[in-house]
Amino acid sequence: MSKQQPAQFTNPETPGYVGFANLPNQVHRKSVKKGFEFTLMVVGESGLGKSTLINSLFLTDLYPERIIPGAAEKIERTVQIEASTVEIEERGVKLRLTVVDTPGYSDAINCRDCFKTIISYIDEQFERYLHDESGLNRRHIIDNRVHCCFYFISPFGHGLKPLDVEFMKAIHNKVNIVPVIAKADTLSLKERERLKKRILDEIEEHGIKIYHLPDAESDEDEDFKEQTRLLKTSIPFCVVGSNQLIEAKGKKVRGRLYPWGVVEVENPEHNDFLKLRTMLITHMQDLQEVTQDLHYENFRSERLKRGGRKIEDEEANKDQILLEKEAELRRMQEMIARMQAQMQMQMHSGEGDSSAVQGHHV
Amino acid sequence: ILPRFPFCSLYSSHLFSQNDGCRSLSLSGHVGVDSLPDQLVNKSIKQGFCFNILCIGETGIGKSTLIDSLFNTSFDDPVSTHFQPNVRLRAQTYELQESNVRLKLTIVSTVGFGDQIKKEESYQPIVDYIDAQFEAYLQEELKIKRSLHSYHDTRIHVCLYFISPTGHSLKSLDLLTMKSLDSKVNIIPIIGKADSVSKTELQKFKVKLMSELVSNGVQIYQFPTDDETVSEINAIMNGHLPFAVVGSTEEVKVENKMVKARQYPWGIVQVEDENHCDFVKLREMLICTNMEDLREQTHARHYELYRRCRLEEMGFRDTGPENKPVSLQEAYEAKRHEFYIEMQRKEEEMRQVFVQRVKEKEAILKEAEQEIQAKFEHLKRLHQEERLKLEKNRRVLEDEMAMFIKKKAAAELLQTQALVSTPVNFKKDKDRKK
Repeated sequence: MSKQQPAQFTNPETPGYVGFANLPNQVHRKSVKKGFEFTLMVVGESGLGKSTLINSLFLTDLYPERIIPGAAEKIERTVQIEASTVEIEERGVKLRLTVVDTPGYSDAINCRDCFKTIISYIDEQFERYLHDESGLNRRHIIDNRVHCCFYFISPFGHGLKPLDVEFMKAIHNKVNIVPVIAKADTLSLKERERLKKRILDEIEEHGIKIYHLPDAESDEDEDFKEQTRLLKTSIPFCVVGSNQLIEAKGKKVRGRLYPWGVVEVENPEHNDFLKLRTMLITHMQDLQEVTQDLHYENFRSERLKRGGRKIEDEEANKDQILLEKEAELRRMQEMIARMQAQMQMQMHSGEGDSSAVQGHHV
Repeated sequence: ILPRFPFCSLYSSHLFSQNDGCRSLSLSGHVGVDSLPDQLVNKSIKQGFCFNILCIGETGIGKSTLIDSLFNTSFDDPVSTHFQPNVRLRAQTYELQESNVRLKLTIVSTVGFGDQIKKEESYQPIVDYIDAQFEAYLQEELKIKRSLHSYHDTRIHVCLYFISPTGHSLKSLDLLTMKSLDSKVNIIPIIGKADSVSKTELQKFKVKLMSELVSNGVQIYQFPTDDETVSEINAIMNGHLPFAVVGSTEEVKVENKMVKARQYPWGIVQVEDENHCDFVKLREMLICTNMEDLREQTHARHYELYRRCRLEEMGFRDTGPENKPVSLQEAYEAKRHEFYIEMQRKEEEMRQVFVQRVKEKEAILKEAEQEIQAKFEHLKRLHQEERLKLEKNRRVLEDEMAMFIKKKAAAELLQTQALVSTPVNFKKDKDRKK
């Protein structure tokens, strides 16, 4: 350090300048180079507008060859997991986005086993990450864990349905749930408020833990704080999705054309699409962090407590077994000590009695 | 609309199509036969009409709102929750009046349809309800003393099936339910909350729905095209099925008029605007044009089918064993005879069983008796032995006693002899003996 030329690294205007204020830029540079990964899971009944919304959010067509089955095929349909990965680049920043779709959810007549497939998929991703993390070569860990789950609630009903409640309760400890109401163009503004309130009440009533946006830091600017506050009060988001360009008020906008008007996707007075997009992008990092620090850690500690049924890695196994053996040894030692003490006591008291005993024998 | 009595309608179409040598008469003046339909109309207006609608659809799909909109009133149905454990039906009857026509309207709605996680049994309560109404009518019809003219007909005349506006296809529950109902009730499929489906999407959706219904063999109600006055409009309307409806009880001001509408930030959906939705078409078809046909179809087709199946179940046939037509009374007699024979057989069986049981019981009792007898004998023997032993002992004792007495007598004799001979010596002897 001392051998470097100080002239290049000191700023005469700020005495005592060290230079680590540059760290954020370094982080920025490295992260741009590394790229980002994000996995989004989409769950909801057929026909609620999931695919349209995903296409609208990322301005692409993720489902080019989609076949929608008829009612007869749906009667016994099981849930499938379809993951499609795309690479998005914007101003040099690369994002590897994986969208996990769950066709068949709630299609069958008997939906009892609807979410088993989904839960085992989420667990599998955690399992794989745990395995990679515990491995010897940890250079190329691919993070396929589900960072966020958009759960679609039907706008045609009065609130949550029994299946919604059960599903969310089954996954709220494993993944960040963001409830979404799509096809919001069927609700008037008053009906929207009523439905949002009803859903929030029901979520609280059933003890479902959805993803909560973190409060803005006190040192952030006012605009950001206001934006965060607005986002927080709008959950669940009522959105309309579309990638069709419609002519409205002299310009082309993305929207849906009806005989009575045009619903604009990006108009905040029409629906919460922009809010949802903002939330997703601004808080992508936070979603990943919560997945890592909360859900993954939960999974990991549960897993390790259960002990090596699924892990094939010997090291972790060995540690576990060693710990167990040590505990057992200690227990054994304690037991032996106790038994010895007992025997000693018996011998002492036995010495007093033994003469009498002998007398009897005689 | 020509109101026709249920029983007349079955026969009236036959009267004038038979060419049985009856000559037609041309009138030279006014007789007044043309007033017959009016008499019929007057009578039926006095009686009042009765119409029963069944609404099947998911919770929140807009059933109550649509009915309110159709009949321009507020029926005040409470909003239901999604957490019903099973599907129920809620029926309410209202008396409405328009000009001088009175209508007894019954609205039956499903509660909790489509909310459960397991939906295999969801359609059963609906089928049971429809059958129960048919059964009630059948029972009334079969009574000896019946009052059909004042009977409140609760049979379902039309079923409005609400399809969810997903834009994709029918749901699996829709298919199952409609298939179980299509032979029992007139089904008119409608798309509820249709203001979330754009015009182009709606076209594709309707085509997909109809083709699915056809390919799965679901029989929906077709507006009749046999009456020339309405055949054209009915045929056109048949092509617009399923009707995409929007309901509203709220009014919005549009161009200085208050209309039933839904207000959005991007526009106003007017319920009665044919460009916006098919509400007017539904009202026209359901109420204005085909209400009577729906009632007729319910009675002549669905009810007759139910009745035939039911009577066959009970064992009645139209033709007897030698293929000769059999009247209901003969069928009754035959049935009664059958029952009687059956009853006798059962009685005989029971008697046999009874006799058998009695025999068994007797055998058991006899065995018990024998056992007791044996025990008694055994005890008696023991007793005898005891007694013999005791006798022996007594004899021995008696012998001993006799000997003792003899000894005593001898001793006393000796004593008295001694006393007589030597009193002094005796005294000594006595002392010595003592």
